[in-house]
Amino acid sequence: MAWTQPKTWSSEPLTSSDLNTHLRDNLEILKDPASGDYTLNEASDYSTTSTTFVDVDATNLSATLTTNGGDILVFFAPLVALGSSQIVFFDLDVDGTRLGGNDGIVATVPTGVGVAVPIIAMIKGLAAGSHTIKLQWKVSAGTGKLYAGAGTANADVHPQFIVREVS
Amino acid sequence: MKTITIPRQDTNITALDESLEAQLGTDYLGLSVHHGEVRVHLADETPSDTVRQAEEIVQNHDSSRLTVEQQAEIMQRQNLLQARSENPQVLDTVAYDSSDALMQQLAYKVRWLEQEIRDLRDL
Repeated sequence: MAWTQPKTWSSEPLTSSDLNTHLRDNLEILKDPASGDYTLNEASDYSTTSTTFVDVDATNLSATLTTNGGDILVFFAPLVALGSSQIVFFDLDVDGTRLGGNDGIVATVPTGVGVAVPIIAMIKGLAAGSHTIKLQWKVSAGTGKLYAGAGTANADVHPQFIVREVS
Repeated sequence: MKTITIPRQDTNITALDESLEAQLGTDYLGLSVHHGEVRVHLADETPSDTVRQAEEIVQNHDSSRLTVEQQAEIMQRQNLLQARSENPQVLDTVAYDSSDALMQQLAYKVRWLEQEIRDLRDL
């Protein structure tokens, strides 16, 4: 079901067809927007040494939505760890193009067991149709780790990757 | 970027990263590990021979072999544990009571720092 630009009524008969198209169908779309989510509960944590952006998990930390056109909101707040003074970067791949470019949309220098990194992004103005959003990361040096609910002591957390059409 | 995926368990990421970088040079961009898979990230223009070489390096990787830095870290840790076992008590400043004032002050400072560290370590 596709979004229909709501009609501007003038002096005309109110038909069930118009009501169904412009009110019922659009309200159903608003109630149940295109959405994808995945909660990490993996057999092992994720690690990378890549100094260029790569997919964290092209299967699970990836969402394909068929949207009605507009904006998509992405939220993910994983616990990540890396060696001293090293930086871990995150970006989103939207249909094959990175959203942030350069060093991505967020970066952190984790200390101790790790830090939670809030990855929040509004992908604006997408055309109606199918869109694939994937989480990517890289490190400045060393080995970055993203905890994935894999039973690691004091880091057995289960972050949720959420992708949702919002307009 | 080219990414090749090789199934394998028990990866010493730091050691494998070091040997891939040493043997593949600038074609090598890094590796990712998750759930029994190693993904090696290579530059787009990496020749097929180098791709095969990367696969062989991953397949032949011995996760029990430590890098020089990993060995040094273990040695450092062992030295620390040994020093802890040899110094279970904080400094006894009474032994410095007959020393000059500056030495006594230093002894008290060392004792205080030891106590702070023990507190941080919940001892």
